[in-house]
Amino acid sequence: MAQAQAQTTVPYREAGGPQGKAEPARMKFYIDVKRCIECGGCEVACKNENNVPPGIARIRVVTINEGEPGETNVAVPCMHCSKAPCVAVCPVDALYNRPDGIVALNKETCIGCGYCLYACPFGAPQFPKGSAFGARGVMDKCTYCAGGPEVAFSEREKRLYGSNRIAEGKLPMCASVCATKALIAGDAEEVANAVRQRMAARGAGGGAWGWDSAYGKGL
Amino acid sequence: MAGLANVFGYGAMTNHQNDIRNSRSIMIIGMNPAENHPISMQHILTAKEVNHALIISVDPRFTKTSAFANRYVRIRSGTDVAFVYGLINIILANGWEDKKFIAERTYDFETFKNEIAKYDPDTASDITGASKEDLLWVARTLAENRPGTVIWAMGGTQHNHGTGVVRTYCHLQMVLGNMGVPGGGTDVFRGHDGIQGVTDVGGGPETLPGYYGVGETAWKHWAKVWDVPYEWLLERFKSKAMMEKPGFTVARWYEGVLMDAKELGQESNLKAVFFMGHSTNSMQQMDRVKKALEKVELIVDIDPFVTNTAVLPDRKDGIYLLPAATNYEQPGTATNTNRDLQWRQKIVDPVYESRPDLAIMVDLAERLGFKKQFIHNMKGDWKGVPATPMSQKDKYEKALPEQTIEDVLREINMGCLSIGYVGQTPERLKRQQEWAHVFEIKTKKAVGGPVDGEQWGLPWPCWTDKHPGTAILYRTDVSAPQGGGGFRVVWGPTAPDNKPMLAADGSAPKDGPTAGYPAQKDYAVDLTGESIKLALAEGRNPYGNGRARFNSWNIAADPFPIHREPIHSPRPDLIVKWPTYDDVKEHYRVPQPYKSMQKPEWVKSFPLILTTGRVVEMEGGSAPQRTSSWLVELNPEMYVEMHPKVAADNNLRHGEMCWIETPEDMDGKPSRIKVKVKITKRVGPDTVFLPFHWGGVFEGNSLAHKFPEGTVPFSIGESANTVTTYGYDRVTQMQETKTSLCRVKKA
Amino acid sequence: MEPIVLWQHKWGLTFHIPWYLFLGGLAGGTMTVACLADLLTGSQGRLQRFAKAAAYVTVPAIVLGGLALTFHLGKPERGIAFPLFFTNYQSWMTIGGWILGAFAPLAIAYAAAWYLNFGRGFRVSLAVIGAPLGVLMSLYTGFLLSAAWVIPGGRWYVPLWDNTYLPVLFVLSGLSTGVAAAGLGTLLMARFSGPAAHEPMEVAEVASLTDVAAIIVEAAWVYLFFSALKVGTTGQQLAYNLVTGSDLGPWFWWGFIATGLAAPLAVSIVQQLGKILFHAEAKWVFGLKFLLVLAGGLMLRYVVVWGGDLKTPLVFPPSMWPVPGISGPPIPGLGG
Repeated sequence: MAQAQAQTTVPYREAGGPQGKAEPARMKFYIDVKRCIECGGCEVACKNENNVPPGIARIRVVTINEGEPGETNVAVPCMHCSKAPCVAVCPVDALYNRPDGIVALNKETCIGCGYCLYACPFGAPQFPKGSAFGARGVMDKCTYCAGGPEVAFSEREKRLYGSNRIAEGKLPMCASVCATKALIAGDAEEVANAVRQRMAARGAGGGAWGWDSAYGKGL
Repeated sequence: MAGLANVFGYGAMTNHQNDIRNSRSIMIIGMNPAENHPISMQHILTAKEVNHALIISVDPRFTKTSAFANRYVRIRSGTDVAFVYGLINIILANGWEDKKFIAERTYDFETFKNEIAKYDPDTASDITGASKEDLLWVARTLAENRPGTVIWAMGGTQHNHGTGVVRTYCHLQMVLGNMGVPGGGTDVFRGHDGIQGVTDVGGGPETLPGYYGVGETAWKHWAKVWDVPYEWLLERFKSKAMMEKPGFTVARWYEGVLMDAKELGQESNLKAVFFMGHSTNSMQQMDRVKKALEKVELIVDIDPFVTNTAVLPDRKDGIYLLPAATNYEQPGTATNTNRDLQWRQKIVDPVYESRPDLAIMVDLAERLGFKKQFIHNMKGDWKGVPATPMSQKDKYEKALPEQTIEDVLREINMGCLSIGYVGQTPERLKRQQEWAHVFEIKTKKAVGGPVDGEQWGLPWPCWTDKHPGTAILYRTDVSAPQGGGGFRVVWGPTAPDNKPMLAADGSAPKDGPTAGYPAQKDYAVDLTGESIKLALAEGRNPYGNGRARFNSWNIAADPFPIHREPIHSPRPDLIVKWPTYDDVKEHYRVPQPYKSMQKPEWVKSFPLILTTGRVVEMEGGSAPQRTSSWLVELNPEMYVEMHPKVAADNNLRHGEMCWIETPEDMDGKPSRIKVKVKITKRVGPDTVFLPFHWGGVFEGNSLAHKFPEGTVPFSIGESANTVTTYGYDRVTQMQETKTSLCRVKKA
Repeated sequence: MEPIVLWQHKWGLTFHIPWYLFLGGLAGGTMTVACLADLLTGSQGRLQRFAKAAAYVTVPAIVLGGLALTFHLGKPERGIAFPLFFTNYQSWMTIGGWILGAFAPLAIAYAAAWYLNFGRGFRVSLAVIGAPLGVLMSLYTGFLLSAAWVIPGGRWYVPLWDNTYLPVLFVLSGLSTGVAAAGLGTLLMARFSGPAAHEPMEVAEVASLTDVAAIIVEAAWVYLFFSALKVGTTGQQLAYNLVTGSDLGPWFWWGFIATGLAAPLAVSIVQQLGKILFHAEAKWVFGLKFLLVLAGGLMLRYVVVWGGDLKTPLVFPPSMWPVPGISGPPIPGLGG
């Protein structure tokens, strides 16, 4: 594991940390329920970028009150929580927190027990239909487009986890294509700025769904 | 388009999508941008957040857009005229109209007022089904929150009086004085990227490129552009009369095959049909289309995918599928809904045996014997179809020299003077592409750099290669050389009743003559561009400075739009009072009956309104989308949206199959489709909704076996247009797919 | 605004987990009663036969349960090698892996000690460890589900899997099903091993009465559990409605409450009345009761696993679009 994490390319905050030292960014998602129009762009972009098979939704848009006043859409990826419950319950440490806050997955150690699925408040862990043996394969989930513990850009990483846009210095594909900027990804400071701007414009909350559960209270 | 052109002078969206950020009220009527124009929603939602703009969604269906509206108003499909004139009635009754704007820049407001008096709130409410409170709220909101924009799409146009509907939207904005200001305007969103461009370069049968029409002047102008003798062009037609007669439209070409030749506006039936990037499942009365496709001698379908056209007819031969390259496999320009041009790069060479459309066209011209004239303005070494087997590179480069696409644009620059397609040279467009980051999001204007002051995309009219483009049409607070202008003078300096058609004194683009003026002589046909430059040098807009028309006297059937019940109306009482048009003997070469097709008794056996539309995962005929596993996963099959009450009354449950049946149209036989029920309150209890993207199943029978091997899409389904019924616009012959009648039966 | 509810139908659709929880809890119960009976009744006690039957029942239960557990994994081979792979000692699955890893060999050794008639001393030494380990085994199946307690505030993620109530409930259910399985085992063994004596009936009656006690305590605990859910947070109330309402209601009420709790009690009452009034006795009455208890225990696991599909809803942030008021006087003639 230590070796795996050593290979990980982690984005750093440009401005540096509190003591002037560079510190890793804290990557977060901001899901603005007042902006999501359920176009499905994030879902398709994710599948295209990471070559996700049918039946697996690393991000999915959930609509409630469909067709009635109060209809609201939420795009639900893995939120990469601060104190991630999935990391806490995983018996084999296949899930772990990267220094930049991304909750990464190691498919080589995952046993496919499904425990994380029940711990996750967002329904992020996905299980493909397994072979004749196990009831399911190993877990698959949103990687924040940061690949896995393999060597960045390796063929193996691409096959197991999909692309590694973070190592390329880019943001996750879903947030990059969002038509209405309802899904914003990036370092906590910048994301919090976006939330604040929208709060200021609207005169009230930023519509950040799931924020408290994932990252604790406050911005 | 015809609606806009007949009011303002140009048939195009007046403002731009980014400009919606400046609006303080937004009325979205007959449109669902959250599904059909998702990118534009960022501007709408920003206006809502930053300006606290009020969004009003007017639709028969509670769409995904309606979910974001401050107020949703449900109206009966096809009653837009009554709704909008009801609003204007309230606005006038309260004196909320912009009197200065009306006096200076519009024509025939007095007669218009009498027309509006017919739509008092009670009448409007009765026709539309919207409550009087709704009408009042909307009218007051629009009046108190200016500038406001009105946005619409096919929900406004696909009616038997669609042109009238569009004119009413324009009239509303004229009454409110919302024209020619940032944040105002009439914002029609076109259905596809590039469709504005198709219209601009003569996609319609009634005009040559640049809206010149098909008269002698037009032909002579284009003969000059193409550098061919006018006589040579004339020789290619049977007669001068046929040369100057508009052809069939995409909506009803099949009648040219099916009808007796004596009924047609030409001597013989159509023998061949040539599809290019068009899918037949987006056209109404698809059962008629099917018959025509079976009867016609030759079908050519040029498309990157196997479309519905290829599998619909029951025929064994005489149908040719030519694989076309997609827009990623060839460079070119696209003109978007707000008249912006954008240069597109080629990403990959054409795959497999597909070829760029232009290469196919040139080869066709070669076989037909006029390649020399066809490629006259294109430089580069045309070698025609390379011999097989050929490499990817050969296929592309030999058939389509790199600079040819630029030459095509240069020809457009040379010829389309009428709409100011002059300044969008390939060089400028490519430079903009390079400097895209310096354009401001709210105004689309560049700040600094070599593109300083230019509008993004050089929206037409862009009169010279120094002109910045006209992002907002009919704007008088900027000078003409900087993109200002009055309304276009198309109908001469005076109206038939001798009232002035030029703008009143005090209303003109900045830094020029202060009053209205006629169009510059010959500006549209002077290929040297001198007359345009002359006008601009004097601070005049070449197209003049005229008035927008409340009274479009050239539209003989209704100079003022009148509410007309749909051909398939659920209100027999209103058919009597607000009937459709009289029958027309010939319209675009086919007879077009109206009153004789409108039968009040239909509603007894077909009690539900049938409306159709699009969903976000699909687009048009959807041959590409239905072959994408990811999109199909999101929206796997054809369905009908049904209110819980309708479902319960017909003993249907969510997920069950049902038959949708519609009255007989010109065939004299009813049509039906078998689709899955989706129970939702999106539609009211009087309406059912069908998305029209599916194809590959006809009246319950799968056509999957007809696809060439390996090309069956992941999802096939009934086409909504199998059951859409007769009904066409009086002016443009646009199909009336938004309103029909149907009944539901358990399958 | 309605809170969002995310549904996951992944575990509920396979039989592995409910059956594992049932068999694992049952094995823990049988092991416990076997050891207790063995230890408390002395070498010649009449419950020796019962202890032996319980020890025998434990083995197939834990083996089948363990197989179900292993094969629900996406990678069963990694599960079998758990000492190598399970590195997160915070996780109840790791802890459970070790409990199971200790329990299964012990249960097999204990049954072997009975079968091969090793000395009593050896057996007793196994039983001393086996009794608490059996309880731990049942307890852990409960903690396995309610494991979210390791996360601050996490106990509310899956409201039905409340770590205050569920582990104890599973221990009680494990005991009652364990006693029933052992009683059933005793009856069956008597049938297949020689002439039917009066003794098995006595044993069965003791087992039956013990079970009655276990069932009564279990019923009380279920009542407490669901009372707490009913007045709890939004998520708990949703879980309460889900389990007792229309979705899982029939399984809960008929499958667990009626079959697993009420019916066995009723059978016991009828049996006791029959014995007292008419001196009537029949083995099949006991058999029926034990089967009912077992069926109810299985249903409980199914209901709990299915009910775990419901997560605590994440509430939407409050609505925040400011709508400026539309001012102005009413319009004459419009009535508003």
